[in-house]
Amino acid sequence: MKTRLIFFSLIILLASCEDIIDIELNNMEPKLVIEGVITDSDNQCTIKLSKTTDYFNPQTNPAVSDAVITLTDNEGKTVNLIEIEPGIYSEESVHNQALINYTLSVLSEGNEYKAKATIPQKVNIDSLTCKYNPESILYEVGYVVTCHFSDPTGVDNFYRLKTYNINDSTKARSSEDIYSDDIFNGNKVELAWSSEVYQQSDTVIVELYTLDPQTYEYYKTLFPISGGDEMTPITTPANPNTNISNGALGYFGAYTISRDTIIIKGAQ
Amino acid sequence: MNVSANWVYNTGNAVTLPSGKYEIDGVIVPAYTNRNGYRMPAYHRLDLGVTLSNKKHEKFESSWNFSVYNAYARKNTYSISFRQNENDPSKTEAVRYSLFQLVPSITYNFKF
Repeated sequence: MKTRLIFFSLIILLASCEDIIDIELNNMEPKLVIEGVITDSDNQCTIKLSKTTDYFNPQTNPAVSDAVITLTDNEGKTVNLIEIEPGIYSEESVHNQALINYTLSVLSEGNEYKAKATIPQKVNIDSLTCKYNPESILYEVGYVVTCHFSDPTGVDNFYRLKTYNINDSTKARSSEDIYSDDIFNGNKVELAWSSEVYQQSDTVIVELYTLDPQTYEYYKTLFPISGGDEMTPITTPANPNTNISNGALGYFGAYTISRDTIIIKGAQ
Repeated sequence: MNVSANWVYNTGNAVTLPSGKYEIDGVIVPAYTNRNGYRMPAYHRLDLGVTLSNKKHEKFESSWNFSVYNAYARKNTYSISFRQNENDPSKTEAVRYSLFQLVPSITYNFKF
Protein backbone atom coordinates (compact mmCIF):
# COMPACT_ATOMS: atom_id res chain seq x y z
CA MET A 1 0.00 0.00 0.00
CA LYS A 2 2.74 2.38 0.91
CA THR A 3 4.74 1.81 -2.28
CA ARG A 4 1.72 2.51 -4.42
CA LEU A 5 0.98 5.68 -2.48
CA ILE A 6 4.53 6.89 -2.96
CA PHE A 7 4.37 5.97 -6.63
CA PHE A 8 1.25 8.02 -7.27
CA SER A 9 2.40 10.88 -5.07
CA LEU A 10 5.51 11.19 -7.20
CA ILE A 11 3.47 11.46 -10.37
CA ILE A 12 1.32 14.22 -8.95
CA LEU A 13 4.26 16.02 -7.36
CA LEU A 14 6.24 16.08 -10.58
CA ALA A 15 3.48 18.02 -12.26
CA SER A 16 2.33 20.12 -9.37
CA CYS A 17 3.38 22.39 -6.62
CA GLU A 18 2.71 22.14 -2.92
CA ASP A 19 2.63 25.31 -0.85
CA ILE A 20 1.78 26.15 2.68
CA ILE A 21 -0.48 29.16 2.50
CA ASP A 22 -1.97 31.63 4.90
CA ILE A 23 -5.68 31.33 4.72
CA GLU A 24 -8.19 33.29 6.71
CA LEU A 25 -10.67 31.12 8.50
CA ASN A 26 -13.59 32.38 10.52
CA ASN A 27 -13.59 32.21 14.27
CA MET A 28 -15.92 29.72 15.83
CA GLU A 29 -17.98 29.88 18.99
CA PRO A 30 -16.27 27.26 21.21
CA LYS A 31 -18.26 24.05 21.41
CA LEU A 32 -18.08 21.38 24.06
CA VAL A 33 -16.29 18.17 23.10
CA ILE A 34 -17.19 15.04 25.08
CA GLU A 35 -14.97 12.06 24.49
CA GLY A 36 -15.33 8.81 26.35
CA VAL A 37 -15.74 5.11 25.96
CA ILE A 38 -16.97 2.25 28.05
CA THR A 39 -15.47 -1.17 27.45
CA ASP A 40 -15.72 -4.66 28.87
CA SER A 41 -12.00 -4.86 29.53
CA ASP A 42 -12.08 -3.01 32.84
CA ASN A 43 -14.50 -1.63 35.38
CA GLN A 44 -13.93 2.03 34.85
CA CYS A 45 -15.32 4.78 32.72
CA THR A 46 -13.32 7.87 31.79
CA ILE A 47 -14.81 10.90 30.06
CA LYS A 48 -12.72 13.79 28.74
CA LEU A 49 -14.26 17.25 28.34
CA SER A 50 -12.71 20.03 26.29
CA LYS A 51 -13.69 22.97 24.14
CA THR A 52 -12.98 23.60 20.46
CA THR A 53 -10.55 26.34 19.48
CA ASP A 54 -10.13 28.27 16.24
CA TYR A 55 -8.49 26.18 13.62
CA PHE A 56 -5.03 27.75 13.54
CA ASN A 57 -4.80 28.38 17.26
CA PRO A 58 -1.62 26.59 18.37
CA GLN A 59 -2.87 25.97 21.90
CA THR A 60 -4.20 22.58 22.85
CA ASN A 61 -7.89 22.49 23.52
CA PRO A 62 -8.82 23.92 26.91
CA ALA A 63 -10.13 21.40 29.44
CA VAL A 64 -13.58 21.94 30.91
CA SER A 65 -13.84 21.59 34.67
CA ASP A 66 -16.66 21.57 37.18
CA ALA A 67 -19.06 19.52 35.14
CA VAL A 68 -21.42 17.02 36.72
CA ILE A 69 -21.21 13.68 34.94
CA THR A 70 -23.32 10.66 35.77
CA LEU A 71 -23.53 7.20 34.25
CA THR A 72 -26.76 5.21 34.63
CA ASP A 73 -27.39 1.61 33.65
CA ASN A 74 -30.76 0.21 32.63
CA GLU A 75 -31.53 -0.91 36.16
CA GLY A 76 -31.35 2.67 37.30
CA LYS A 77 -28.05 2.35 39.15
CA THR A 78 -26.22 5.68 38.88
CA VAL A 79 -22.55 6.42 39.31
CA ASN A 80 -20.95 9.88 39.55
CA LEU A 81 -17.72 10.50 37.72
CA ILE A 82 -15.13 12.46 39.68
CA GLU A 83 -12.80 14.98 38.09
CA ILE A 84 -9.33 13.50 38.66
CA GLU A 85 -7.45 15.93 36.41
CA PRO A 86 -8.64 19.12 34.71
CA GLY A 87 -11.19 17.99 32.16
CA ILE A 88 -10.85 14.27 32.91
CA TYR A 89 -13.65 12.60 34.86
CA SER A 90 -13.44 9.00 35.93
CA GLU A 91 -14.91 6.36 38.17
CA GLU A 92 -13.27 3.09 39.08
CA SER A 93 -16.15 0.93 40.20
CA VAL A 94 -18.40 0.83 37.19
CA HIS A 95 -19.64 -2.67 36.47
CA ASN A 96 -19.15 -2.93 32.73
CA GLN A 97 -21.14 -5.71 31.16
CA ALA A 98 -22.27 -6.62 27.71
CA LEU A 99 -25.82 -5.86 26.57
CA ILE A 100 -26.54 -3.33 29.32
CA ASN A 101 -27.77 0.08 28.18
CA TYR A 102 -25.76 2.92 29.65
CA THR A 103 -26.91 6.52 29.67
CA LEU A 104 -24.32 9.22 30.13
CA SER A 105 -25.42 12.63 31.34
CA VAL A 106 -23.09 15.64 31.30
CA LEU A 107 -24.11 18.91 32.93
CA SER A 108 -21.74 21.71 32.04
CA GLU A 109 -22.19 25.47 32.11
CA GLY A 110 -25.92 25.19 32.41
CA ASN A 111 -26.41 22.78 29.51
CA GLU A 112 -27.23 19.11 29.65
CA TYR A 113 -25.87 16.59 27.15
CA LYS A 114 -27.02 12.99 27.07
CA ALA A 115 -25.81 9.93 25.24
CA LYS A 116 -26.78 6.26 25.24
CA ALA A 117 -24.52 3.33 24.47
CA THR A 118 -24.63 -0.43 24.86
CA ILE A 119 -21.62 -2.69 25.17
CA PRO A 120 -22.33 -5.29 22.46
CA GLN A 121 -21.97 -9.06 22.77
CA LYS A 122 -18.31 -9.93 22.63
CA VAL A 123 -16.84 -11.72 19.64
CA ASN A 124 -13.52 -13.36 20.36
CA ILE A 125 -10.56 -13.88 18.07
CA ASP A 126 -10.42 -17.57 17.15
CA SER A 127 -6.85 -17.59 15.91
CA LEU A 128 -4.11 -15.55 14.30
CA THR A 129 -2.03 -16.59 11.34
CA CYS A 130 0.72 -14.94 9.37
CA LYS A 131 1.70 -15.22 5.76
CA TYR A 132 4.82 -14.13 3.96
CA ASN A 133 4.37 -11.50 1.26
CA PRO A 134 7.07 -11.39 -1.38
CA GLU A 135 7.92 -8.03 -2.91
CA SER A 136 5.13 -6.57 -5.00
CA ILE A 137 4.12 -3.15 -6.23
CA LEU A 138 1.35 -2.90 -3.65
CA TYR A 139 2.89 -4.28 -0.51
CA GLU A 140 6.20 -4.18 1.22
CA VAL A 141 8.13 -7.37 1.91
CA GLY A 142 7.27 -9.06 5.16
CA TYR A 143 4.61 -10.98 7.00
CA VAL A 144 0.96 -10.01 6.95
CA VAL A 145 -1.07 -10.98 10.00
CA THR A 146 -4.59 -12.31 9.56
CA CYS A 147 -7.20 -12.45 12.29
CA HIS A 148 -9.76 -15.29 12.24
CA PHE A 149 -13.09 -15.12 14.00
CA SER A 150 -16.69 -16.25 13.61
CA ASP A 151 -19.34 -13.65 13.04
CA PRO A 152 -22.57 -14.47 14.90
CA THR A 153 -25.69 -14.94 12.76
CA GLY A 154 -28.86 -13.05 13.33
CA VAL A 155 -27.19 -10.02 14.88
CA ASP A 156 -25.71 -6.93 13.24
CA ASN A 157 -22.09 -6.79 14.30
CA PHE A 158 -19.59 -4.00 13.82
CA TYR A 159 -15.87 -4.40 14.24
CA ARG A 160 -12.66 -2.44 14.44
CA LEU A 161 -9.30 -4.11 13.96
CA LYS A 162 -6.02 -2.91 15.43
CA THR A 163 -2.70 -4.62 14.87
CA TYR A 164 0.61 -3.43 16.22
CA ASN A 165 4.11 -4.48 17.14
CA ILE A 166 4.42 -4.81 20.91
CA ASN A 167 7.32 -2.35 20.84
CA ASP A 168 5.42 0.31 18.93
CA SER A 169 1.89 0.74 20.23
CA THR A 170 1.55 4.29 18.90
CA LYS A 171 0.82 2.91 15.44
CA ALA A 172 -2.29 1.20 16.77
CA ARG A 173 -3.96 4.47 17.57
CA SER A 174 -4.23 5.47 13.97
CA SER A 175 -5.98 2.31 12.82
CA GLU A 176 -9.03 3.08 10.76
CA ASP A 177 -10.10 -0.43 9.85
CA ILE A 178 -13.77 -0.70 10.69
CA TYR A 179 -16.19 -3.28 9.33
CA SER A 180 -19.85 -4.03 9.41
CA ASP A 181 -20.90 -7.64 9.00
CA ASP A 182 -23.20 -6.97 6.02
CA ILE A 183 -21.15 -9.07 3.65
CA PHE A 184 -19.95 -11.77 5.98
CA ASN A 185 -22.84 -12.15 8.39
CA GLY A 186 -22.80 -15.51 10.08
CA ASN A 187 -19.59 -16.73 8.48
CA LYS A 188 -16.09 -17.46 9.61
CA VAL A 189 -14.13 -14.33 8.79
CA GLU A 190 -10.52 -13.64 7.99
CA LEU A 191 -9.40 -10.05 8.26
CA ALA A 192 -5.89 -9.30 7.16
CA TRP A 193 -4.04 -6.21 8.23
CA SER A 194 -2.20 -5.40 5.04
CA SER A 195 -1.00 -1.86 5.63
CA GLU A 196 1.61 -3.05 8.07
CA VAL A 197 4.06 -5.85 7.51
CA TYR A 198 6.11 -7.52 10.18
CA GLN A 199 9.41 -9.35 10.25
CA GLN A 200 10.58 -12.66 11.69
CA SER A 201 10.33 -12.87 15.47
CA ASP A 202 8.27 -9.69 15.84
CA THR A 203 5.66 -9.95 18.58
CA VAL A 204 2.42 -8.68 17.14
CA ILE A 205 -0.70 -7.86 19.12
CA VAL A 206 -4.08 -8.00 17.44
CA GLU A 207 -7.16 -6.44 18.98
CA LEU A 208 -10.62 -7.14 17.66
CA TYR A 209 -13.20 -4.65 18.86
CA THR A 210 -16.93 -5.28 18.66
CA LEU A 211 -18.57 -1.88 18.41
CA ASP A 212 -21.91 -0.48 19.46
CA PRO A 213 -23.70 0.51 16.18
CA GLN A 214 -23.59 4.21 17.03
CA THR A 215 -19.87 3.98 17.78
CA TYR A 216 -19.37 2.39 14.35
CA GLU A 217 -21.40 5.20 12.79
CA TYR A 218 -19.26 7.77 14.59
CA TYR A 219 -15.98 6.25 13.41
CA LYS A 220 -17.35 5.86 9.90
CA THR A 221 -18.00 9.60 9.71
CA LEU A 222 -14.91 10.62 11.73
CA PHE A 223 -12.12 8.86 9.83
CA PRO A 224 -12.77 10.58 6.46
CA ILE A 225 -12.16 13.97 8.05
CA SER A 226 -9.42 13.21 10.54
CA GLY A 227 -6.97 10.50 9.61
CA GLY A 228 -5.33 9.83 6.29
CA ASP A 229 -2.91 12.14 4.58
CA GLU A 230 -3.25 15.23 2.48
CA MET A 231 -3.28 13.22 -0.72
CA THR A 232 -6.76 12.02 0.16
CA PRO A 233 -9.13 14.94 -0.41
CA ILE A 234 -11.89 15.38 2.12
CA THR A 235 -15.06 14.76 0.15
CA THR A 236 -17.48 14.85 3.06
CA PRO A 237 -16.57 17.83 5.23
CA ALA A 238 -19.11 17.55 7.98
CA ASN A 239 -19.00 16.95 11.70
CA PRO A 240 -19.27 13.23 12.49
CA ASN A 241 -22.63 11.69 13.43
CA THR A 242 -22.59 11.43 17.17
CA ASN A 243 -24.80 9.90 19.81
CA ILE A 244 -24.47 12.92 22.08
CA SER A 245 -27.42 15.28 22.21
CA ASN A 246 -27.65 19.04 22.30
CA GLY A 247 -24.92 19.93 19.85
CA ALA A 248 -21.78 18.64 21.58
CA LEU A 249 -18.95 17.20 19.53
CA GLY A 250 -17.16 13.94 20.33
CA TYR A 251 -18.89 10.69 21.26
CA PHE A 252 -19.75 8.20 23.97
CA GLY A 253 -18.55 4.91 22.60
CA ALA A 254 -18.96 1.34 23.77
CA TYR A 255 -17.08 -1.71 22.63
CA THR A 256 -15.56 -5.01 23.67
CA ILE A 257 -11.90 -5.85 23.14
CA SER A 258 -10.57 -9.30 22.31
CA ARG A 259 -6.79 -9.35 22.34
CA ASP A 260 -4.40 -11.99 21.08
CA THR A 261 -0.68 -12.19 20.38
CA ILE A 262 1.34 -13.87 17.66
CA ILE A 263 5.08 -14.23 17.31
CA ILE A 264 6.07 -14.28 13.66
CA LYS A 265 7.81 -17.54 12.83
CA GLY A 266 7.77 -18.43 9.21
CA ALA A 267 9.06 -21.26 7.18
CA GLN A 268 9.89 -18.61 4.57
CA MET B 1 3.29 37.96 -37.91
CA ASN B 2 0.34 37.35 -35.61
CA VAL B 3 0.19 38.15 -31.93
CA SER B 4 -2.51 36.83 -29.60
CA ALA B 5 -3.41 37.00 -25.94
CA ASN B 6 -6.05 35.33 -23.81
CA TRP B 7 -7.07 36.10 -20.25
CA VAL B 8 -9.27 33.81 -18.17
CA TYR B 9 -10.86 34.64 -14.85
CA ASN B 10 -13.06 32.40 -12.69
CA THR B 11 -14.33 33.15 -9.22
CA GLY B 12 -13.51 30.32 -6.83
CA ASN B 13 -15.89 27.50 -6.02
CA ALA B 14 -17.80 27.54 -2.77
CA VAL B 15 -16.18 25.12 -0.32
CA THR B 16 -16.66 23.89 3.21
CA LEU B 17 -13.56 24.61 5.28
CA PRO B 18 -13.02 24.06 9.00
CA SER B 19 -13.66 26.88 11.43
CA GLY B 20 -12.39 25.15 14.55
CA LYS B 21 -10.55 22.11 15.81
CA TYR B 22 -10.56 19.62 18.66
CA GLU B 23 -8.88 16.37 19.57
CA ILE B 24 -10.23 12.84 19.54
CA ASP B 25 -7.92 10.09 20.74
CA GLY B 26 -4.89 12.33 20.28
CA VAL B 27 -5.65 13.26 16.67
CA ILE B 28 -6.67 16.78 15.65
CA VAL B 29 -10.11 16.80 14.05
CA PRO B 30 -11.48 19.79 12.10
CA ALA B 31 -14.81 21.27 13.20
CA TYR B 32 -17.19 22.58 10.54
CA THR B 33 -19.91 25.16 10.81
CA ASN B 34 -21.55 26.33 7.59
CA ARG B 35 -21.57 24.20 4.48
CA ASN B 36 -20.06 26.12 1.55
CA GLY B 37 -19.27 29.06 3.79
CA TYR B 38 -15.94 29.80 2.11
CA ARG B 39 -14.68 30.41 -1.40
CA MET B 40 -11.57 29.03 -3.06
CA PRO B 41 -9.18 31.72 -4.33
CA ALA B 42 -10.02 33.04 -7.80
CA TYR B 43 -8.51 31.39 -10.85
CA HIS B 44 -6.91 33.59 -13.48
CA ARG B 45 -4.20 33.27 -16.08
CA LEU B 46 -2.85 35.01 -19.14
CA ASP B 47 -1.80 33.13 -22.27
CA LEU B 48 0.35 34.82 -24.90
CA GLY B 49 1.26 33.67 -28.34
CA VAL B 50 3.07 34.86 -31.45
CA THR B 51 2.95 33.20 -34.86
CA LEU B 52 5.59 33.80 -37.50
CA SER B 53 4.59 32.71 -40.98
CA ASN B 54 7.22 31.66 -43.43
CA LYS B 55 7.17 32.77 -47.04
CA LYS B 56 4.22 31.16 -48.79
CA HIS B 57 5.09 28.83 -51.63
CA GLU B 58 2.63 27.50 -54.18
CA LYS B 59 2.28 24.09 -52.66
CA PHE B 60 3.66 24.57 -49.15
CA GLU B 61 2.93 26.89 -46.25
CA SER B 62 4.49 26.74 -42.83
CA SER B 63 4.67 28.79 -39.66
CA TRP B 64 6.22 28.79 -36.27
CA ASN B 65 4.17 29.48 -33.17
CA PHE B 66 5.66 30.43 -29.81
CA SER B 67 3.28 30.60 -26.90
CA VAL B 68 3.25 30.78 -23.16
CA TYR B 69 0.49 29.35 -20.98
CA ASN B 70 -0.03 31.17 -17.69
CA ALA B 71 2.43 33.90 -18.62
CA TYR B 72 2.67 35.38 -15.13
CA ALA B 73 2.98 31.90 -13.58
CA ARG B 74 0.13 32.23 -11.10
CA LYS B 75 -0.23 29.30 -8.71
CA ASN B 76 -3.90 28.67 -9.25
CA THR B 77 -5.35 26.66 -6.42
CA TYR B 78 -6.30 23.15 -7.38
CA SER B 79 -7.08 21.98 -3.87
CA ILE B 80 -6.67 23.03 -0.27
CA SER B 81 -6.11 20.55 2.48
CA PHE B 82 -5.35 20.83 6.14
CA ARG B 83 -2.90 18.84 8.14
CA GLN B 84 -0.93 18.79 11.35
CA ASN B 85 2.54 20.27 11.02
CA GLU B 86 5.17 17.55 10.55
CA ASN B 87 7.58 19.01 13.05
CA ASP B 88 5.09 20.25 15.58
CA PRO B 89 1.89 18.15 15.63
CA SER B 90 0.07 20.65 17.79
CA LYS B 91 0.14 23.18 14.95
CA THR B 92 -2.10 22.92 11.93
CA GLU B 93 -1.47 24.32 8.49
CA ALA B 94 -3.27 24.78 5.21
CA VAL B 95 -1.64 23.25 2.15
CA ARG B 96 -2.44 24.40 -1.34
CA TYR B 97 -1.83 22.25 -4.39
CA SER B 98 -1.46 24.00 -7.71
CA LEU B 99 -0.83 22.32 -11.02
CA PHE B 100 0.82 24.20 -13.85
CA GLN B 101 2.73 27.44 -13.53
CA LEU B 102 4.48 28.74 -16.62
CA VAL B 103 4.26 26.35 -19.58
CA PRO B 104 6.00 27.50 -22.77
CA SER B 105 5.42 25.76 -26.06
CA ILE B 106 6.75 25.81 -29.60
CA THR B 107 4.68 24.56 -32.50
CA TYR B 108 5.62 24.13 -36.13
CA ASN B 109 2.66 24.02 -38.49
CA PHE B 110 2.77 23.13 -42.12
CA LYS B 111 0.31 22.30 -44.85
CA PHE B 112 0.62 21.10 -48.40
